[in-house]
Amino acid sequence: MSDEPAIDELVRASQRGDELALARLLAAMRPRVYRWALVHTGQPDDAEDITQQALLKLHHGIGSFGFAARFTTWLYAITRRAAADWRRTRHRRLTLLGARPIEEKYAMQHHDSRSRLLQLVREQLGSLPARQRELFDLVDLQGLSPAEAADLLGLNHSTARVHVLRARRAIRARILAVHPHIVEEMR
Amino acid sequence: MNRVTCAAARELLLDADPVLLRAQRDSALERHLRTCPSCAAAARAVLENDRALADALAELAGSPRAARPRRGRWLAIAAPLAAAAALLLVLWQRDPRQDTAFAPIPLPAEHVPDVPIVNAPATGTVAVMRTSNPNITIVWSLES
Repeated sequence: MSDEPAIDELVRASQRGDELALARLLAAMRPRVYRWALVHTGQPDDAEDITQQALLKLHHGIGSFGFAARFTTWLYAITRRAAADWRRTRHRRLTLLGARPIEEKYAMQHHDSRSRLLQLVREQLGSLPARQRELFDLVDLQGLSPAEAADLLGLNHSTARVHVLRARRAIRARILAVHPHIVEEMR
Repeated sequence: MNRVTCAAARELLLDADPVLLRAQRDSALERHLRTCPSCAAAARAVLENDRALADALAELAGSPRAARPRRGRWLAIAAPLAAAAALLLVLWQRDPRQDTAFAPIPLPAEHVPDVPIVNAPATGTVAVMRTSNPNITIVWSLES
């Protein structure tokens, strides 16, 4: 990504104890982390919780980051772990309460524009496995190459490519199914 | 030159890189899309869907890609910040030992800036983070 050098500079300054740089780094990374979290959860409030957890871990762990990988790869891994913790906690909570997943509540109240956007994201990405969701977002929606996305996630390039293709296929098949006239004309 | 049938194009549409769906280059699929209105419509539907999804995520994440109302957003933030500032000011005046409290600077509405301004404590820094909720801005105090 083009802002990597500037981010690395902020990381180095933060490691030297420059709090202003750390503040800038946190503010700069928040939208990205939030988007990653949102792709994982589909829930804005949960995504915010995951984001804050991930940024806290960034804050506490930045001294140990050694530039062996890209900073964004490291941060992505932190966010994924925070999302995994969230999934475990959520599952436990739902099991204890015998509750329905919160998605149902959101599905019933997509009356404002924000809820409609969430509904769209959930409809499109909700049925995909987590890996496919994150790779589809990184490659087809954010414009990274499959190799860049694979590096970011610490995956083998061909594995990443397979996930992207499966996600594309699932999403596009659904789109073509809701445009039957297009499919019909193509026969 | 290989010709692609509509059935083959439909299969390719499911997997193709989005760049190919714009039909601006010279692959077999792109040549077909330039001559077949039905397949071109299908490719457009896929691209439009991707764009809508990308815009939705960008808008929800509060990243600069999506256009957002600015002034109303910060006015909404400034009001609670000003209220918090007033409260912190009162608390600070009650406790003379308190010299590190950070508080938003209350400003007249006509001078509300695009970004919130807060007083950092003398011994530290603050990180100001916009959230996807226009009514919430997160401020971290990074004290040494």
